[in-house]
Amino acid sequence: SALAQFKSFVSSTKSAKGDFEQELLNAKSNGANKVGSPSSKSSGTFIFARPGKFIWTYKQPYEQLLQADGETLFIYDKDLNQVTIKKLGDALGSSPAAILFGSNDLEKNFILKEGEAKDGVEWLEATPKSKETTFAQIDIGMRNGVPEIMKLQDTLGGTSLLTFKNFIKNPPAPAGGFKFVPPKGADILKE
Amino acid sequence: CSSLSTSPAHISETTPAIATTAAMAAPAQRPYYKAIDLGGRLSVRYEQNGKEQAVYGSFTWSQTLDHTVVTLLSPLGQTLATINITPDLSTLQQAGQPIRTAADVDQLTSEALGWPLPIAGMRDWLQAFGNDSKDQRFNLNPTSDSSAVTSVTTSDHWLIQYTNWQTGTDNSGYAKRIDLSRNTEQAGPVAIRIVIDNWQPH
Repeated sequence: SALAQFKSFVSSTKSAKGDFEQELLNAKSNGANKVGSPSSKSSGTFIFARPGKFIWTYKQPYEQLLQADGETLFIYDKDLNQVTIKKLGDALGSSPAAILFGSNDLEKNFILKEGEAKDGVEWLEATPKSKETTFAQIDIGMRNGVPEIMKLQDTLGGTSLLTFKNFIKNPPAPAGGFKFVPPKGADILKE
Repeated sequence: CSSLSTSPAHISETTPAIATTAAMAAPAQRPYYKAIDLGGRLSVRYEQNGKEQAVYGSFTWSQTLDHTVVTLLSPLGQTLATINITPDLSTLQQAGQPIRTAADVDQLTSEALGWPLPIAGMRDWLQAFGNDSKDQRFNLNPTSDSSAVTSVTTSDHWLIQYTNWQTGTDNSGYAKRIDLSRNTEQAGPVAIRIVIDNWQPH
């Protein structure tokens, strides 16, 4: 079942790395909101280590880096030449990062329900318990014990589809670890 | 008028015998698009009771003649706020909060978000149009040298700098990077940086 696959994934995966593709689907706002425009497709690489350490790098259509060292989240935008620094605590909360990179007990923050099984993918439906999150529901599509797709529905009708490729479980840690080094000359914004 | 310029810098194969620099050529009249779909990223630096604050995310901007929809998204793509603007009423919806409405969209956004997002002005400024400090209509032209900074102070005291001009699908120019700054009562010195990733005039 999806839940069994996910629980074994969480317990057996201390870290992982791979590529991701993300697509933002139309937000249901009543305006003519064309989130399905070119800028709504993006892709890049990720690496994470529990709990709360990850490097999420957007490569296309622009360069943007989200890096967490377990306590602090750094977001670097190359075009804006800025690094925004946030406390990781509230940024992780009940968000996709918490599911993949956070502490292992998912049931604390989410109500879990067995979803459908289709084309070899078993779906797990996670509904955040807390109301202050921007998420209405997160569906995790499991295949052969690893997450292949995540469908993130936010409370304003926006949906984000995350597809993972070349998912490698427990790879060697990255050379510099997860310590963030601000690029030279980038402005630092603290939140 | 054109000047006979002998310095080699002005002479390249394409220019006629009498060299005219681009700035002196009559600026092409760029169209203002009443209907356009835009998207990109933005960061805002402002102050809240003396403490520096920073916001960063992406936005989509879908404008038609009488209705504009702006959505603000988190770096990971979650919708944080949806703002619907019509000439007489604007509504703003934030995740997990009741819908707010106001006649003036700028008042609505600064109350709801805590930082000023000059949407009314941006309707012009995102396309490098607007009213300058002498209340004259401006229509900045793309410079051929994309690193050149074209700047203007607006009638309501925003300093706007346009850099990295790109050519759009219908070869009209647009600025990829727009920096806005202004001193505000409510949020101290405000600095907004915008990068346009998606430019689709209709």
